Amino acid sequence: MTTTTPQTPVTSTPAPAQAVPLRRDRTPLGPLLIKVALILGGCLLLVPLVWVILSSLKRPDEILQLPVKWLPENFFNFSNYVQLFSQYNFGQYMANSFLVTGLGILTSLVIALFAAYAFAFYRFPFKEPIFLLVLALFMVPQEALVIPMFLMVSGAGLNNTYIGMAFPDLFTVLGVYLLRQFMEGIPFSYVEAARMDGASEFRILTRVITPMVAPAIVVFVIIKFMFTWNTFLWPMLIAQDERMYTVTVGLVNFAGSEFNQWNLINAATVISMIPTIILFVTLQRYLVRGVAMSGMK
Amino acid sequence: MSAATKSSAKVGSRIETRRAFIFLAPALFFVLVLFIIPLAYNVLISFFDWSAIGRKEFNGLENYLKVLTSERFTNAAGNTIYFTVLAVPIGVVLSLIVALGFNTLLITRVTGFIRALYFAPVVASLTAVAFVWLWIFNPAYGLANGVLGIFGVDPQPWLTDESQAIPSLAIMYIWARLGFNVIILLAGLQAIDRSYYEAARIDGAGPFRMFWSITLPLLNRQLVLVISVEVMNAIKLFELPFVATKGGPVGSTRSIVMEIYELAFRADRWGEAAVYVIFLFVFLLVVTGLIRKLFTRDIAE
Repeated sequence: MTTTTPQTPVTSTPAPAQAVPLRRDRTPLGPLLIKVALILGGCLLLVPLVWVILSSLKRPDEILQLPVKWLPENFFNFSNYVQLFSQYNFGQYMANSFLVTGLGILTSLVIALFAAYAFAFYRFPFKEPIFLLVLALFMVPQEALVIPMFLMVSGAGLNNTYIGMAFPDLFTVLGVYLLRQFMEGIPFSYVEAARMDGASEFRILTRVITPMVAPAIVVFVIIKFMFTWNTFLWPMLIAQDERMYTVTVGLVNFAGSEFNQWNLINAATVISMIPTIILFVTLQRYLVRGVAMSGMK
Repeated sequence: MSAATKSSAKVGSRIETRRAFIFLAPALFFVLVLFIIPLAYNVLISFFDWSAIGRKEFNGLENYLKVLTSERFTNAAGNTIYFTVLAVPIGVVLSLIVALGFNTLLITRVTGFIRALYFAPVVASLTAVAFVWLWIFNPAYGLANGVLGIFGVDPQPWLTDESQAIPSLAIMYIWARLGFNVIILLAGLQAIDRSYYEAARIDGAGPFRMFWSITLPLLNRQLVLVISVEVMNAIKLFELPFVATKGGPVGSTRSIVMEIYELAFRADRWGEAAVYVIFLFVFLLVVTGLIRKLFTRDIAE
């Protein structure tokens, strides 16, 4: 907001003292300074990520050189990565993460579509209280419920299974909320017309409504992917067999056993971030829109 | 079919109600299984001397007494609160400053790219964040001391020092969360009708006055959201100390969730761990309630 920027005298006309430039495009100097400051800040924020990537390309002896060396000798030294996939099970961890994440996305999306449809197009008793209850769960930190949840899941014999690992992610309140928001914007006449044509409710949801909320689905899938891919505590508790580890669990376990092999630890850290980074680079616009949307209740 | 299609009626028909609950059934099932039953189950466990493998004996409020008087609890609660008080206000103020900066710029491809720089750390898991910074804060080989060395500052112990460990964790956390908050606050800022500022300017209001009486109140919703989410995430502090410090040095970074994990899964003292969970919930309720109250008063003025 221009209101908080230092009041640099930027308007060309000798304006009264308190004149604050309101139009964003009228002032050449102020925005330039702000832009420069923001670029500097952004680069500063990127330094840790760049540093990890650079470190992951160094040789074991290179990384422990003093004084600290900034750049790797060979920028194409991928031997650390090769080692993680050939001598360690990072390929398996990745596959597990993809499986658990995919399971969570698919299930929570389908459940959310049905629930959102009911909230958006049906009238039924206790509709508002039920929706408010679901919304209230937004503020419940699920991680805090690990104790009863673990007892329930292991009691059901789901320890060390993919279903067990995906369990808390099979349903997400955010999905219901986002999709309902979108469906409320669809005129009821679409549903009525489809019913007139004799379409079943299931068909209306899958063929008429779902395509219309595609943007919200994209946003939800991205956010959900990010959250589920990044969870750590729950899969650590449920995956007891090393072959079942997700990437986050594998990373922590690996770093614990390969103490001080910082070239490998850095490479493993980068590996764990690759899918979300790719997602971020390719779908950044949707991701940003999604986060912004969830703040615009 | 035809009776059900009359959905334009004020009250849903019986068929419509039945359909609605069929569509809602999976969601309600998971609400029950993921939230309501675990919450109740957790309360139950908190009244028991509960071992995962052996005895499960009702012992009333003994767990509560034991936990609330233990040094372990006060230490973990203190650390978690200290971390929250440090990380959340600084993080939110920084996010607000960055968002205000972006809001003065035109939305172009270039500004979109700059914004992406801020958002990049958000996609990393907290586990990865912990490793990124564990390496940066490495007292001997880390980037942090390397940079300080350039300016002639003595190397710092960072995570390995009792008094610096929590502030170091706060730096990691703020770094990881900044972009997320900026996006939400920026969306809120962009939704503010600019005519308010025009009007205020005609009334002779200065920039700070405009910020206090227009920007902040109209940004209320996003601020409450950001602060609440931040507090919730900060209070759940687990991955960062679990990976980067293992709770050390001398227990100075042991958090509530770490203790929950240790007590239940390492020490087999589930009843006491359940008390920690309840404390976490009560604390969270009180804090988010306070935030809401504080900020709704703001807008009323």
